[in-house]
Amino acid sequence: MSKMKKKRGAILVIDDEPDICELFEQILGAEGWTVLSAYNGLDGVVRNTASNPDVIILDLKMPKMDGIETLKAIRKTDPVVRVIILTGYGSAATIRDALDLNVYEYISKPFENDTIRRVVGEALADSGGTSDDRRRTPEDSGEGKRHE
Amino acid sequence: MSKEPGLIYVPILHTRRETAGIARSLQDSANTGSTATQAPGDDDRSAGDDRSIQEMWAGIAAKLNDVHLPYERVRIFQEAMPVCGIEKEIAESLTAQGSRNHQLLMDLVGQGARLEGTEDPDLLVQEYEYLTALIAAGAGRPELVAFEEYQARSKVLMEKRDAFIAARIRSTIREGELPLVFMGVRHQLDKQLEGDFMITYLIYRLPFRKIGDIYNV
Repeated sequence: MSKMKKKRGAILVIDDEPDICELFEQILGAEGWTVLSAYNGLDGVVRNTASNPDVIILDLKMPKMDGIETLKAIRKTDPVVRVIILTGYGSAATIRDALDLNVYEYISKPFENDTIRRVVGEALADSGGTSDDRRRTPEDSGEGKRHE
Repeated sequence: MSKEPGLIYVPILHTRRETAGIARSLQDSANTGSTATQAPGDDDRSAGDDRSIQEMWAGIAAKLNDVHLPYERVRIFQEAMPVCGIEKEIAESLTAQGSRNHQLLMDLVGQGARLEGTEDPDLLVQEYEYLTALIAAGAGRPELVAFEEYQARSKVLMEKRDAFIAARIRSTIREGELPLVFMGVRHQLDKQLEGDFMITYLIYRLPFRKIGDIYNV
């Protein structure tokens, strides 16, 4: 187990590409944040409910349940979680959808690691929701991957 | 392979100040022959909002740099840029006032692109009047009622603006030219153009929440 001091804040990455999830786990885990991964939209919705993260990083292009559908499902039960859309493509229509679904940031691939670190940090700070009484931690639920 | 001509569409966020500033420039130029130096809402941007806008434009510039457009054949269409004959002067004036958006336009013009008048001046002045009323209602932090009223009126107006812009693009673009369109994310201009052009969306970063309630979508 790493001796790195964990920062308060949990991030859920929803992306069908395991390599991308792993990249985020490395980049954001190295900052001391707790990082969870879901490899499809449905799993993302379930994990959001179970783990109540502070920030979600969501890929738009996923099979079966795409990012916008996933976000619509999440917003039915969670209107406050900060969501960062990450996509390799994106039409103006999907951007309008994202705006209507209270998205915090919209970033296109390829992205700079520093950009992701900064945006996630800003989203966590802006959420003001990293207090333990707001969310149930992954440790509580025993779910999700964790980088410590 | 499609025979439809290409079009580069750049969804953008910008502050009300920028829209108000350009409409104010238009009004002032009509009255005095000079462009405006200040617009309503100048003080409504925080440093964080400003930084987010700057980063968005830096990212868009980097993306454009990556795609190597043939600028001698590029015609730029910019939201809130009136068809008025002094488009370049307006862009220069707003660049001097710190608009990263217009600075990028001037950079592209410097590389050979042509800046085209894009919007109906009368419709822009209406938008300016709506914004002025909104800002006056709340001294920079408008009441929800005033904001909702503005949104409803602005939405109807935006449909008219989009129809004008689409017609403008169709009527001015020449064979072999590439339209490069900078348009606010709430506009649905792309829907009106998709039957005539193969649209490629150029996106870098849109800091929706960071800019908060001051951006003009």
